[in-house]
Amino acid sequence: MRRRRITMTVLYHLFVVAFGLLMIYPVLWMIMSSFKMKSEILGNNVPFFPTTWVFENYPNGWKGAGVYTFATYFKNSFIVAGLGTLGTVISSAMVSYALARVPFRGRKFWFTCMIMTMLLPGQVLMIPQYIIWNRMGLVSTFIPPILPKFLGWPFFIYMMMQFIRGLPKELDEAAMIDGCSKYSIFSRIVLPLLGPSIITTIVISFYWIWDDYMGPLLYLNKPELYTVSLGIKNFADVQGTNFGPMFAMSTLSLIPVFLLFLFFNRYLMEGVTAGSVKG
Amino acid sequence: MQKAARKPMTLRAFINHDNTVGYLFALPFLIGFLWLTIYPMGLSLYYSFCNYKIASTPEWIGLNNYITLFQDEKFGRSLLVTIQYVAIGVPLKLIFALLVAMLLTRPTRLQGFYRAIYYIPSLIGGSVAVALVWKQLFGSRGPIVTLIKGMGATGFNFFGNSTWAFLPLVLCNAWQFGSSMLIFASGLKQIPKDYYEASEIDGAGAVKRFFSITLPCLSPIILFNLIMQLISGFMTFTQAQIITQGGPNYATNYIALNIFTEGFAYSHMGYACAQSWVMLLIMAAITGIIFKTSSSWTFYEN
Amino acid sequence: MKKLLALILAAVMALSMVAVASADNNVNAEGYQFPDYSGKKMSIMWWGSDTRAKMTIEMIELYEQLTGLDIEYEFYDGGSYWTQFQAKMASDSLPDVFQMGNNWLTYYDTIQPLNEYIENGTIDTSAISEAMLATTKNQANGDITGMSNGTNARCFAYNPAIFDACGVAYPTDNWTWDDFAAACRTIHEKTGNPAVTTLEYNSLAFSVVTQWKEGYNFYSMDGTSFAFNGDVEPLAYIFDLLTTLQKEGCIADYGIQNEIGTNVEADWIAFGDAAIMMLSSNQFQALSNVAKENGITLELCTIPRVHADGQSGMVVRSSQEMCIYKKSENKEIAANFINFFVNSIAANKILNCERGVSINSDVLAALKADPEKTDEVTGKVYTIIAKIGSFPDTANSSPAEPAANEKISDTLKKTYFQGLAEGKFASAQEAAEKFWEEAQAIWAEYEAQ
Repeated sequence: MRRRRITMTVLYHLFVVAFGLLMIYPVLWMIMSSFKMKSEILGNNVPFFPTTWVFENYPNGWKGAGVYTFATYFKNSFIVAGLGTLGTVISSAMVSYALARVPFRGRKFWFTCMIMTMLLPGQVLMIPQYIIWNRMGLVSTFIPPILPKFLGWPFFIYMMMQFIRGLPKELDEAAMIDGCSKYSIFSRIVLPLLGPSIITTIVISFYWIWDDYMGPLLYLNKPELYTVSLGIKNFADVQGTNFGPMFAMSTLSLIPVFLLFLFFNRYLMEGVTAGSVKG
Repeated sequence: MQKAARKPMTLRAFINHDNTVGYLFALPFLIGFLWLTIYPMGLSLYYSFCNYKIASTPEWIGLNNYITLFQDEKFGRSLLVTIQYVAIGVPLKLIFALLVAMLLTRPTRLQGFYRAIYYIPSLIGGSVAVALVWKQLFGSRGPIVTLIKGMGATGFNFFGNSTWAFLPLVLCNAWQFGSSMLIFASGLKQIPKDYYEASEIDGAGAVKRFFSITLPCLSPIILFNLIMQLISGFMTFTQAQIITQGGPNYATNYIALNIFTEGFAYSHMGYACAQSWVMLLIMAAITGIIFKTSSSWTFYEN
Repeated sequence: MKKLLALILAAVMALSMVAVASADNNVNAEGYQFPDYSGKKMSIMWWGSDTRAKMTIEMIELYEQLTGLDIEYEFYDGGSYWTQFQAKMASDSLPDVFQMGNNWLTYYDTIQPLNEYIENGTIDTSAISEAMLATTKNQANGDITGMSNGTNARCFAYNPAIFDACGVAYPTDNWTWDDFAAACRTIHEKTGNPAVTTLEYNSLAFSVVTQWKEGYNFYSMDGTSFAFNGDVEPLAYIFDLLTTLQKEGCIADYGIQNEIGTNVEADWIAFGDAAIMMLSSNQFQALSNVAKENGITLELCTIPRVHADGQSGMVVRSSQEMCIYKKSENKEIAANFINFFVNSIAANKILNCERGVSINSDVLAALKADPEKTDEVTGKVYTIIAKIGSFPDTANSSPAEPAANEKISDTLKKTYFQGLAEGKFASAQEAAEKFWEEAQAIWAEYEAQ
């Protein structure tokens, strides 16, 4: 029996690691390419490891173009992603509570509206939204990419709704009998139990905002406001793409997001569900 | 509680009334919707009935854009390939996500590390750099095609082949299952252990436990992931633009890419808006059907 | 030759020093006084890679130092630029100066014609020939839409070593499509690789139309109509020629071409796996750099012709131009800046013709004379542009790009060329006729504006 368990454990780990390596092979390829010469990235049947290690790709890429380096770009990305994530968590928690737990008039209608907003491709909304922000003189500021997150992001609203729906109504009822208002039900019961959902929101929304380049492209259009995603996109052009530095900066761009994930993953594992649901 | 006469609602009662609470909490969304969304949506609807070239003012042409749409072969093909992409890609992604989420619930000290590894693809998946990497990897002189050629299929080429060009794109999308996996993992965590313990005592095997406990408890999450991945699948744009540019022969000309090209490259903004609204109607129909049928298979813990 | 040029240049400069107080805004003249713009602002945007951005920013800072002007700049990669442009155009907030391509006809309403600035001397055109100025002129009404900051031409690149190895003669200045086909077949036979990788199909088709008969052009010079009498023969000819060669394997199939896409440095020619490809002359530098890493040297040559003694079908066009926004409030400043951009030798020593060959002959001469700025590769580009510019029919074949061009070109390449290769049409003739129908239909769409 014991031997069987050990074999199963070993097999399990082997399988997970092997499959995992396959999963991250493209990323490893990118990291290796960040050290290669261009001809080694584009050629026929290129070897996995670089034959000559071009470490200069990193400082070259970091310099960016002109006055502002990737230091500025990283700072901007942190501002946009950090504040955006904060906004997402706050607004999603609030709105999802209303839509999932408070039987108010028009609830179904607003829910349908919310789903509808997700069905229209962003490409056609870009120009009218740009006009709105432009009329208020807010283009070239951080407000257009950040403020909308404080006003609700349907994906996360819906996600939290599903989590809330999974919480038993008896808890609410018990609290109401105790004299709690709907407000304190939110703060004392629902919010704490939303722990894993909130953490999931933080992780996912952060890197979605971090990777987004359409928003920054339109509104953070001064070089001192560029984010990392824009900086990276600027490496590619018809007249020649600077692959090495581009992959180098992409590799660096991966690090903050990955660290954030590692940090929060711990909490997810240890279950920051303050008091479990049953028993 | 019986009241002798109708008293006006007290401030307290008003604040605690369901409607007030509801609207107060939903306020962020309402503001955003009415200010930033409904105007652009309305405007795009208006443009869809116009001949709008951005450089000039829109002029009303009624249903002409929509009539042209019905006869537009390129648009029809675009819809078809998008549906093909979504029909294959979304289930693949969800199955991957669930399997890996379950695989990684086994309590080991390396669990966090493993999760991180499987999550990495999603962290950078949407970026331009990865799209370029994907292009190199699946290119005719990249490692994967070399492998396939080594197995005997000489002359095989993903991006030159209308039939197979979609596969690298589907794989790229499915590869980024991280967020779905994370959401499944959170959902799995919420399933009370007692359920499993009880059924083990009853003598149920692993497979039975999966189908009678895990799946039903996860059903709200499955519903969510299904809808979200469907929607994001229909909106696929960056990868198609960078990796295949919609080719070969429009085999990967997904609808979001088609709309972008019509609107920004050909300056047919009105026509692009018309296409968007048709797409919205189709997706609304599909989403609606899924929602309607969901009540029969979704189980809420109530 | 170089010495002679240098002598001439010295003489010209000496002469211009004598004629100091000239009315022209000659920024290269000794003792030129830059206007004082302290406290004023101007905005500009362009597209390009980070290399171009670095150089442009350096040049902008130079101008800021010289004039005290405060310049706000934005730059994007080629694709994102147009998204940004459309958004700004829709909200009336374009910058004072912006980069524009040959698609200026589509955005005509946003462009301020520069004729008055040229006439009053703000923009100095003394070292710019009529032909060069015409690259950005609207032939329909004589408006100069912008100042070209570089010219380029579509041409072929080839690997002489492979030609030698297969015993094929090098392409001459007027080699024909028959020569081309023969060369391809021999090279393919002897090397087993395709002889040709990337081709720009729509551009070739248009060139063949021009080459077919004198007076033919795909679009008329002012961009208001088609100009080849609906004669689909040249189209059928080139459809047939290229598709046949492709079926034989002499030209790489569409999968490979799509993979390479617009990424010229990924082209097989740089890795020794192909002998010929088509590109824009300003892409040659990047391609050569990669080829050099693989020990390969490439040369440039002309596009094959239909008749050896006929039209070349080639054109020197502006690769990009700098335009002034019609609704700008700083037009005078913008004009001065553009004058500096295009004419200043100091500025162009920084930019080094990265966008294309300069239209100012003084600038070009100065750069050619400087070995630091002009290496062998750049020299080849200058040579081919000069050569193409000297063909008699070049001046007659630089039409404006009508608004319908983007869609027509895309359709030509994706539906017809690729469709023919996949057997969707019975013959090249049928494909040509159907294409002509559809082109007219697309034109009608855009006419209904």
